[in-house]
Amino acid sequence: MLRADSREEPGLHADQQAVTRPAVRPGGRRAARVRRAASNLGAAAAWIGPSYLIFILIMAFPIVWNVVESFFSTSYGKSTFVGLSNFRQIIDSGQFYSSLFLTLYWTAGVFIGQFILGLLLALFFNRQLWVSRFVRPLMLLPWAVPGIVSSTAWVFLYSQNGLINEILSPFVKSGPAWLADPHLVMPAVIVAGIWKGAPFYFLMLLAGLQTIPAELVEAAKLDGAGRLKILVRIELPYIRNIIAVTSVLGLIWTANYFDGIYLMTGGGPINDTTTLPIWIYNTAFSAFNLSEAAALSVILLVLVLLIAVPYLLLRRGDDDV
Amino acid sequence: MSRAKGLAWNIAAVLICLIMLLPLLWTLVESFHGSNVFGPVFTAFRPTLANYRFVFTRTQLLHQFANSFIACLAATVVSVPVTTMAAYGYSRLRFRGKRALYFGVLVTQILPATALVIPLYKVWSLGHLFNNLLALGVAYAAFNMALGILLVKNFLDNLPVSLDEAAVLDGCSRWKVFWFVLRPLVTPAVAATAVFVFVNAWQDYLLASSLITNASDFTANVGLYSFEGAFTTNWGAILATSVLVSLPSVVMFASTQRYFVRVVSGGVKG
Repeated sequence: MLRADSREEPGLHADQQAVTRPAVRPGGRRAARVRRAASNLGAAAAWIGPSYLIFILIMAFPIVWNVVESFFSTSYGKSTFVGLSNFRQIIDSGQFYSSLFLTLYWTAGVFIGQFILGLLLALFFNRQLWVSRFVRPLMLLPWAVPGIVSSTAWVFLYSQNGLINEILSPFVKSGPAWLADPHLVMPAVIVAGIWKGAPFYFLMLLAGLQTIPAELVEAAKLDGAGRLKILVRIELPYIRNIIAVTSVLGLIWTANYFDGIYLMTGGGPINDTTTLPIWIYNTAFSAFNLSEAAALSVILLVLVLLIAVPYLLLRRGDDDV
Repeated sequence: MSRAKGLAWNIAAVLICLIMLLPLLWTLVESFHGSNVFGPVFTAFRPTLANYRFVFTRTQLLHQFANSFIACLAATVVSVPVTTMAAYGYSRLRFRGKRALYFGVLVTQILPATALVIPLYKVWSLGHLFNNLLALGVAYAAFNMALGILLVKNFLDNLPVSLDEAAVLDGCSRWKVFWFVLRPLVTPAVAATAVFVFVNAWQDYLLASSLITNASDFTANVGLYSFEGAFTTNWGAILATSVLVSLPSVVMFASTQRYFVRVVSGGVKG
């Protein structure tokens, strides 16, 4: 907005200078400017309006309604205002902190794993290879398949007689029930999550690495820098913006990710994988407590927006609207 | 020496790829096993199409595929014109409040679908929209619109404004400039947007599972999950269905993945 104004400033300036000359119907000019501004707004409404109509119908209106609803309690079709009681109930329920912890556990585990795996893959493929043309698109497949497909594939791998236990069979007498064991289920789900999302980091970080001028790395090599030093001192700082955008988007998507956990465990065993998104879904569609689910949604929304602020600020500065 | 080294790198790349794809390859391979896929893992077996025959003749998968196609196509048809127009607006128009509106678009990109499912459920019951595949498509369009707007705007920003100005001097209106001058040039970006919307919509489970309540209107993903609940032991058929369900998104995604980097990295340099 500010920038758009400053662009029009030269025009204003010329206008003001014109006033000192013999008057050329200043009122008419101003009217023309007002008309132009109005027609710009009209054009904006015509071009951008439809997209905002959809955003309002599918996102803004439901969110506002949801926030309002979270202060009410509904039973037998009658709504009563209960203030913060839904939120208090959630926080007092004992599940709140464990679910928050599980969400952090899941998000941190998946994020760190995806970032490291994605970075290693990007570093490996950041060279001229004849097979890259065929291999690189294939590497993205885990990310391209629907969540239900990757979840099914991993449930199959983790099953009692599945491939993983079969591979472990020479070392372990009988393989664990990965998804039924309270201690193993979260790590097991996190591994599947890392696998599913690492291609995104791979794609983005590789794109970043490829923008680094070769001379920069060559010069460091001549100065005797080792591989690790080049990575930490030159390559990573050079692509820090792409790392920032990728990480924040990845963090948000991971914290919100539903399919990868729900379709493997349903949040179980005994809520051991019930992150906030799973809790919302189960509260609404298993326990049919829509008021509490509304309050939970508000909590998740606030948490996500808090993580997202740095990303949004970064994007806003760079996008040149 | 150097050629041998190059060969070694290439072989390593293929191996890494195979390891990465193992869960999917395993699904694919075992889907050609009989219905009892367990048993000694590393023994040869005679491939059979029995699982696929079962899926096509004994399940609703084809019908659910059609449902998915309707919803995803609706999402694409709704979002492509709307997205392109908005992108033009952000790229070419000057008006008060533009930055704020554009900021709003960015915000929609990070809104968690799980936090929106509950209120959408209420909106859907208010509007009697349950089991309506077209309405589901509009919801998909909303969730994917930011990505498309960013992509097409990024593309338009790289087209010189002098193109528009020349056409305006020739007396064209904005719509004519857009339709005859810019539209042919942004077609690749618009096509990529169409594919992204379709593929993203095809991946959805959450929205379809809460906004579609009628089994005959299930999308393929919801159908697969409910099939897993009903036939827990028929892994052969489950795996075959998984393979079929992933085909459309895999084929379409592979063809446009390189555009994706441009969208997500957007204006952010290096």
